[in-house]
Amino acid sequence: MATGKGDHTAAPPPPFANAGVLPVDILPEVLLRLPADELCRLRLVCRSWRSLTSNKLFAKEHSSCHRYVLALHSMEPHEIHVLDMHGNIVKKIRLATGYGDVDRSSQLDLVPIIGSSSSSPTQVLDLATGAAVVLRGVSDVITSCQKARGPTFPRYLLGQVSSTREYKMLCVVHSYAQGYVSLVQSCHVMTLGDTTWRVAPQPPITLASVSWKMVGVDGVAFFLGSEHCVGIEVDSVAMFDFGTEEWRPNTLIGPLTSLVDSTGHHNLIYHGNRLHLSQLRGCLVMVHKNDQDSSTDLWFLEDINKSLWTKRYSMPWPPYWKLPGFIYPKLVLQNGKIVVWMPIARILRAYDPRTSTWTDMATLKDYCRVCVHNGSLLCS
Amino acid sequence: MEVDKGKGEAEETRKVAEADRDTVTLKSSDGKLFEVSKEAAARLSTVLAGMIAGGSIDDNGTDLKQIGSEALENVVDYCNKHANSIPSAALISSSISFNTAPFKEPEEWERKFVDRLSHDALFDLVEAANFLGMERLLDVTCHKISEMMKGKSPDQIREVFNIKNDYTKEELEEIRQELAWAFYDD
Repeated sequence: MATGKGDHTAAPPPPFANAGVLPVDILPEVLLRLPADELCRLRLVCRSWRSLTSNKLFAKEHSSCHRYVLALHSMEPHEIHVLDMHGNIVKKIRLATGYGDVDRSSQLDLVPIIGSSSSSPTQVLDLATGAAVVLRGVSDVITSCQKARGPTFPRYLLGQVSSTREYKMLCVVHSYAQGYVSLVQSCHVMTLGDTTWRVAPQPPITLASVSWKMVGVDGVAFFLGSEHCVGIEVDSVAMFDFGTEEWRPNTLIGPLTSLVDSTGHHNLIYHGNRLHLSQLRGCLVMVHKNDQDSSTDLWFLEDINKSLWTKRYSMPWPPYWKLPGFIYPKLVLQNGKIVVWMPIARILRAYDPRTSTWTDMATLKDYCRVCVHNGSLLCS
Repeated sequence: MEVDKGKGEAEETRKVAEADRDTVTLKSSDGKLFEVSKEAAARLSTVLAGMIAGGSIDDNGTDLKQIGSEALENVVDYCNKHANSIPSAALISSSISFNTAPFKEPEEWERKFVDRLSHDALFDLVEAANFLGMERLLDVTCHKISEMMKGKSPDQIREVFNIKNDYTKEELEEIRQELAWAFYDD
C-alpha cells in the first residue's frame, strides 16, 4: 500500500509509542466489556485499575451494559444468587435466615425478602453491601391482626420517597373474619431503620392480595383491585404515596376499561386473572395475558392524572409454545429487547420487538423466583 | 493501489484525477502514503468524514502525524476490507447475541483481522481508531483486548500488559478479603 513517495522525509518518532502498554484513555472502553466478577478480580492488578473500576460513574456505565438478575435457589433457602443473562452465577449472597419469597417488583437497590414464618422473618437485602437485615416488628403486626380477627395474609412493598431518599415498607394485611365471610384490610408503614410500624389509612378499594398485582414505582405503590370484588373494574389501580403515607382518593382507570368504552366488546371479569403489574424503564406497566390474540400486551402508564395508557408492546406467542402461562417482563435491555421470566418453564427469554421474535437466554431450573438486580456489583 | 511512476505524465494526471474521485491519500507520522476508499473512510471514521466534508484533504497526502505507518496501514486495510464486506445477518439483527450491551460482536473476518496482530500493533491500532473516531474498529479492537484479559490471573495480566505491581502484599490480601465473593471459585 505504501507509495514510497515520502520515504525520504525525516520520520519523527510516532507519537503513539505504546511500548506494549495499553493507552490510558482506552482502558475504560476495554474494562467496560468485562463482567463484574472478572473486574473485581482485576482490581488486584494495580492501583489505577482498582480506582477506575471503583469509580461511581464507571460502575453506573457498567451496570447499564451488564444486567444481572437475582434468583432464589429452590434447594438452598439461605442463598440468593446473582446471575448473568446466560444463567451463570456471578455472586452468591448469604441470607440472615432462610427465605420465603422475594419482592419481584423491586426496582431499588434494596430487595425485601419476604419471610413466611417466625423462623424465616422478613429481611431486607442491601445489594450495595450484599448484607441482609432482618426487619423487626413484622410479626407483632401480624399477630395483633390475627388475634383481632382470624386468618391473616400480609403483603409487603418497599418504596423510596423521592424527596428524602428514605426507604419505607408498606404492609397490607388481609384478615378474614367470621370464617372467611368478611375481609378486613389494614395497612402499616415503617421507615427502614425504625423499629415501629405506623398505622396507615384504609385503601379506597379492596386490593388484590397477590404479589404480582402490586409494584412500587417512583415513590408510589400501585395495587390492582381485587378481582373478587363487586363494584370496581378489575383493571382499576389504587395508589399509595410513600411520601405523604396517604392513599390517593381516586383509582387509576385501567387500559381495558378504556377499551370497553370505545368498543364495548371486552368481558372485564374474564380478564381479571390475566392482569398483573410490572415496571419497565421507570414506567408502571400493566401486563395483560391476552388469550384472544395469543399475545402478552404491555400497557405503559403515560399520564397518572389522566389515566392515560398506551400499548407499547404486544408480544405474540409462537405457536409451538403449548402453554405459555404467565410471562413476567423484567427489564428492557439497551438493544431494545425485553427480558421476561416464564416461571412454568423456568426460562429467561428475550423478546425482540424489531423482529417480533423470541430467544431463550437461560434455563434456570434450580431457581423459583427471579427479580432484576439493580445495584452495581462493583460497589460492593 | 500503488502509483505507477513509469507511465507518461498525461496518463498519471488522468489517473490521479480519477483517484481523486473515490480515494483519499493519508500520510503517516513517518511520511508513508496510503490510499483508502473515500466512501469507506467517510463511513467508518468521523474524523476523516469531517476532513473530507470540510475540504481539508490534501491530494499529496493528508498528514496524520499521530499515527505510525504500521497502524495506518492496518487502518487503511480495515477500511478497504470493510468496503468490500457484506454485513452478515448476525450483524444486522444481532439476534444470536444475548449481549445486553451496546457493544456489537465482531464479524468473523474482523476477528481474524485483529487476531493476527502483535500486542504492540493492536495497541497502536486501538489508539489510531480512537484518534480517527472509528467506532466500529474501536469496538473490534477493544473486544479483542477484553478477550485477552478474560480468565487471566493478575500476574498474567501484568505480564501481558506490561504493568507494574504497585501494591504491598498486605494490600493485596486486604482487597482479596474485601471482594471474597469474586474469588469463590479460585
